[in-house]
Amino acid sequence: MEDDLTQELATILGVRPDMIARDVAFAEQGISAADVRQVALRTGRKAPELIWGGMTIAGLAECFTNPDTREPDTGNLFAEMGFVPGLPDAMYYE
Amino acid sequence: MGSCEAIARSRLEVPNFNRLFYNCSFAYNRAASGLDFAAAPVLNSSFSRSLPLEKPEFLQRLSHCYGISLSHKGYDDFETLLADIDRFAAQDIPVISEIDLFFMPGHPFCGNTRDGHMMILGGKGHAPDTLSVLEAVFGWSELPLASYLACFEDRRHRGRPFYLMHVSRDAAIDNALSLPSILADLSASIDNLNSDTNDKGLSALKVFSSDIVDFLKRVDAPFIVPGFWTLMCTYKNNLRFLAALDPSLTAGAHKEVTAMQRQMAWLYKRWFLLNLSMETSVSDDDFKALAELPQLLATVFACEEQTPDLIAALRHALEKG
Repeated sequence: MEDDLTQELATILGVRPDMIARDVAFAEQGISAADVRQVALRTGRKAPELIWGGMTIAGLAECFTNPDTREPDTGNLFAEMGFVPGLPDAMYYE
Repeated sequence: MGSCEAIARSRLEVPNFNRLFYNCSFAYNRAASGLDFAAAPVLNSSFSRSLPLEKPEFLQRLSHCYGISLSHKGYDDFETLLADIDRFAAQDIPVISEIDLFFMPGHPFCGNTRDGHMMILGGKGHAPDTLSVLEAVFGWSELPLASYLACFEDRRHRGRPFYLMHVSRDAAIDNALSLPSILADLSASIDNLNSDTNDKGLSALKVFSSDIVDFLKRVDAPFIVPGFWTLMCTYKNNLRFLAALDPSLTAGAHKEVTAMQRQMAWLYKRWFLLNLSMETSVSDDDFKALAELPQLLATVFACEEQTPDLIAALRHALEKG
């Protein structure tokens, strides 16, 4: 017997309920973060638990506890701490 | 780049990175010994995409379109790394750290394999000797310092530093992607898909599909193909890219853009289902979840055969204006 969350997500995603994993549900094209949040609210699950695949980016951004917080003015902090411009090959290609 | 985009969205008022690139490609890195388990359930061969951008072009587009700059620092000393993380956390500055996903306790493949990955650091965790990290699958999690140290040492054993990355933005920059860049991406996709080698394009997809069908006849255990998950992400990205195209560029290509959107949406769903089948088979330890794989792959291949012509038609229409 599938639980309510699995049934609901399966309906949203248009897949069989048995294709929804137990611990991480999968978002599909056309499912907004708001949809997933509503499911989360109704079921008591955390939205990030429900978000994967195509919804990953929106899910990550919304995980911040205070999304209205803007980047503070850090002046030359990063340069002073030894940060250099660009991206090392290891972080792009590995 | 998901971590960069998350910071850009939440802290730097960039709503998305949709205009960075368009890509339809396949890359098959097949083990010389043939398809087999490397460390079950992970296979010894990867099937993935081939991105159209080398690093310099990627950074240039990030800066040109969104005013985003990246900076980094390499660490040779773990204590210095932790001290800097504390300093950023005290000022509520998100930084990105490389961290192998498979060092995450609770991951089904934890300890089995290695993978390049990035996470956002939130400073010390609530539990002793943990770091608070934000990761796409796990959300906010508490990563044991011992796992972080293990990842740090793994990179040091590879003979290189361990990196942190900072994302910043010049808010005045918000340019459209140029037509030559778009045409170059479309050409790269056509070249990849039409390649006649077995490690690229539709030829690679055909060989991979055949290998998977043979493999399913030999084994009865769940498996996952390294890199496979990137394909559904690529097609999702393509849909966003098409939606974000400057209308002045696509005025004469409405029919071709619509046809491509339909193709990408259909294929996205199938690549999603293919990946879901593998993930579900592993997470539930249920080999039956893979039963539909051969039929799905055959259906996808039949549709993918039309993709190069659709891209060529779109390219021609955009070029013509």
